[in-house]
Amino acid sequence: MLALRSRTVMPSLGRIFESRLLYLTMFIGVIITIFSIKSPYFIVPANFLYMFKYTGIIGILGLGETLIILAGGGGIDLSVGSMLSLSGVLLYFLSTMVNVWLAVVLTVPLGLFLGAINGVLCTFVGIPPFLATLATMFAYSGISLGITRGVALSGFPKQFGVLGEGLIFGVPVQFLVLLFVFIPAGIMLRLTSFGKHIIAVGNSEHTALLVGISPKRVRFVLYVISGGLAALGGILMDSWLLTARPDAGLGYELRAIAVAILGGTHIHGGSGTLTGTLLATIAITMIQMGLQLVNVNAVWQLGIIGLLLVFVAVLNQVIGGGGLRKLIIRWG
Amino acid sequence: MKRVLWSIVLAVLVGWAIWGVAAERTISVAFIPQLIGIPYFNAMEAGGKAAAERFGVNFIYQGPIDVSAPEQLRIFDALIAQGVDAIAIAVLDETSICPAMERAAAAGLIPFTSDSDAPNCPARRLFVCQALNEDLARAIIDGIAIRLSPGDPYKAVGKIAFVSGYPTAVNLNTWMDLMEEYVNAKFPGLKIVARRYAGGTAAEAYRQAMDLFTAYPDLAAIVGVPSTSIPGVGQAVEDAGLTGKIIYTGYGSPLTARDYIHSGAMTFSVLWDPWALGYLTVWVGWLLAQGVALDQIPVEIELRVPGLEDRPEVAVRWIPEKKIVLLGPPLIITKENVDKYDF
Amino acid sequence: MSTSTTFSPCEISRGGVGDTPSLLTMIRQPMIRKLQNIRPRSTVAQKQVSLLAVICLLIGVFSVLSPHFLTLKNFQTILRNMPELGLLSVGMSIVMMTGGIDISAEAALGVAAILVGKSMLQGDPAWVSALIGPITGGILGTINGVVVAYFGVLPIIVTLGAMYVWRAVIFLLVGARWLSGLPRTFDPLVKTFVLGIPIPFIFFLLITMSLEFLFRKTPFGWHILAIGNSEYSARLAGVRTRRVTVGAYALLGVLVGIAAFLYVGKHRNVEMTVASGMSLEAIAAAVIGGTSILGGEGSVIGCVIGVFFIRLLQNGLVLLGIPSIWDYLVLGGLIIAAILSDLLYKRRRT
Repeated sequence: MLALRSRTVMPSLGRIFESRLLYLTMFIGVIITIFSIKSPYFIVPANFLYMFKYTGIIGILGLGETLIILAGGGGIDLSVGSMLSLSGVLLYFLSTMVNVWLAVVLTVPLGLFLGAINGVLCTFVGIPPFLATLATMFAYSGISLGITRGVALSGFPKQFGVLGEGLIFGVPVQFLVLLFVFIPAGIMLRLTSFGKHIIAVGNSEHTALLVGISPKRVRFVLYVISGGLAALGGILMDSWLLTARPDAGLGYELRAIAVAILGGTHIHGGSGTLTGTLLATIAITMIQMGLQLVNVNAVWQLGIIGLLLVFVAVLNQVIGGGGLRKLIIRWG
Repeated sequence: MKRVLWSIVLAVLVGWAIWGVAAERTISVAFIPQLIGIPYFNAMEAGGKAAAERFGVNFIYQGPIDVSAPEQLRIFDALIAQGVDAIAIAVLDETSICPAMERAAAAGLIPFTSDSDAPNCPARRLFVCQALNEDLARAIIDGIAIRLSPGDPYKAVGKIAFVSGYPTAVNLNTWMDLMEEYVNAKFPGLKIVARRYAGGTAAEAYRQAMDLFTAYPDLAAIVGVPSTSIPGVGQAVEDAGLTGKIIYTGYGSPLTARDYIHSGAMTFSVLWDPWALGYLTVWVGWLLAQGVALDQIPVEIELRVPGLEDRPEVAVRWIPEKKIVLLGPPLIITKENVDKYDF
Repeated sequence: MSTSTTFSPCEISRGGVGDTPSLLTMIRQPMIRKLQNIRPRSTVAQKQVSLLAVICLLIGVFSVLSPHFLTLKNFQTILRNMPELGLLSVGMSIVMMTGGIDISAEAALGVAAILVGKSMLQGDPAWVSALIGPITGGILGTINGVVVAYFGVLPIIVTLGAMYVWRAVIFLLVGARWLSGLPRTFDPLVKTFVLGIPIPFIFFLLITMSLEFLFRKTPFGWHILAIGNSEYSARLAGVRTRRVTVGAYALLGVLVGIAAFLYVGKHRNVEMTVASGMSLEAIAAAVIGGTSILGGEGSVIGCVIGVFFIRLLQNGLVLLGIPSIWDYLVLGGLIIAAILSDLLYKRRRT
């Protein structure tokens, strides 16, 4: 099916992006309006800013996920949650040996390494990403459960909490960290040749090969980046909870994938923007927070996100596939 | 980009305009369980609702669907934002919830714990305690020992196996540790041979229990620690033909255990009355929110809670040393009394 | 039976690929050759032989290390624990052969199990309760299949979303009140042994056999393999790929429903978290049993061996007294090992 679909990428791309961003902004607006009606606490300034704290980890994982999905080839990383847990746990063990800030610096390469294992399995070994990362998802969370014996480890120094809990001019540090990774990533994707390679590989592996780009190498690097970002997520999580929990990343893979897809990344790769992912992160966080404020059950929150995920994925397909009419023709 | 910005501004303005005035004030008490969707916390919710109705409290019950500390924290923060008067929480992770409790206290809310504690957190006003962990651990081991050796329980001989739930559950691990300590200290003949984690499903508990019966054919007792293990292990006891031949016990709610207690597969179950615990939690929250400084009473006293007088095994006490409101001694559920409970 | 019957004339005319016979014959020839290659034997059989060798080795090791291992009762226990996972795994392997995956299967099992349980509590006739399982499963599976096939969304994303939606449905259905102490209606069926073999296991074997027949002798099976190999060429060859894909997911759903029925019969209890983690086990079993991770190749019978292997290993872990905390790691490692060995076979063949 992949091969059959010829996507008209370049000309309409800009328009789709623009409309996507507009839709997302409108969507956020609708969310804000609805929840402001439903709950008097939603739009209180202190609370509203505070809400952005919850965008940090989801957004960072979603960024890695977006890049991987962008590069196509069925790329997906289901192990982000487990990598987050494992690097959080490793950070704890490191911090018992060295200064906590040094441990933070050392954790990132560990995350890169975990990502590299995924990368090797998915690209050079050639296992379909959903299976390879499903397996490492199990393996990584197994390791973190095993080395902690299942116990949550606490005992970080209090000043370490600044990353997860701190506020700068009322803006949560977590959100600043998120911007701190999003902006360079956005520049990388837009302006560098590597960024163009990602899009090229995602659009047509074959063409990319012909012009001398190695899809395997590009994708490998992205898995490594995703691992590093997951480690960053683990650092934030540890700092936020002041505890390393072996199950800290449970369920985060859904949210990461959801923000990537909701942000307009095409599931078969090749098109998507980081701004979209960022807006989607904010939207999803608002939905969750808003549903929480009107006391909607957490099962429903995840159920709604799940529905949204499938719905938007279908919608993307309709848009990306050339509109509803083409889809109907394809059915016939 | 301009359009984007304007649509945000517009939406925000609409939101502000629609934001109405807060309704007239009633005291609201929130309770965050460790997870929702299990009969145990459901019973607490029902008890809480009953108390809320009686005392005219607005009761909010919200919890994560997985045993997840970050989720609990997120819900806690949302409740602070809602400005409830008192928040009770069944703590999953003390370190992470403690700063949030301090935030709550700073915002003028009353944070306290119920069902599972954060004893080292200064912001936690008190702990509504179902039964002391030590008592719970002893009730299981004593029950096993007395059935193995009715004359002198301390001479009981036999092997015991645990089938627990998630390896990350702190309360389950605490109980297992305390049971093990108690056995090692007092019962030289008893031996704990296995500690299995079945995750959260009955099917896995079933499988693990079946394999345990094979691995230890002379097993004297098996303990299903969380309520998720109870039906699985019970079914395994029946299917392995060990009904009446093995002592099967655990911390199971009567509703889950009833069928197995009746069939004889389960010998006895130890728990407390979660309905009463939920009721007590809301009552305590209501008192504190009205400015009754329950936690300042320096002496141990018995508390009479209106609406709980006729519940069995409920003897509410205030223990100032640990800042605990204790519900009462553990409830031992056997064939005789299992039908009396509905939780 | 010659392979050329794969594409009966009516099959091709319905496919609507090309009206010119010359084009058709051009496409048909390579396709037929390709299909001959992917008949479920070749490397699959090889893999199964080596898997059986590993199983024999494991049995040997466990027998030496634990005196309780090599007993009739222990093997009965293992067989008893196989059917539900087995059915899931068989269905999963069919979906995986099309190149897809369904991680919502466990949650679908939960939904079906709850409906079966509720019907039992209502006192419906036994056959009604028994039928509700497969029907529910079939519907849920079809929904996934339709979204995957007709909207072209990646299976992993569809089923990830579906999993959370079904879990919400489970919560809606059970509330927080588990179904417990269900009537013993199905005890004679699920708790009885024939010649020392539990009936559910025999039932499972029968279903597997008939599916194996379906795969070897009917176009449906060949079409599934063809889609897994190359959906594009399958469609060109006249396979109605979308319908077949939906069929595969629906079939998985039905099998999940049957598993749900067996589950409720056995446990007489449904909790909120029912069957969580089971999809992964099923995927592992399918891969271990020889289903190719790249699709287009696999065997239904292989799943039986794969499931037996997993249950055997889990049983051995308990009997040897290995700390339970390592269970997850063992399963994750197992999937990776199975995947790697699958790739190794592929490499050697090409």
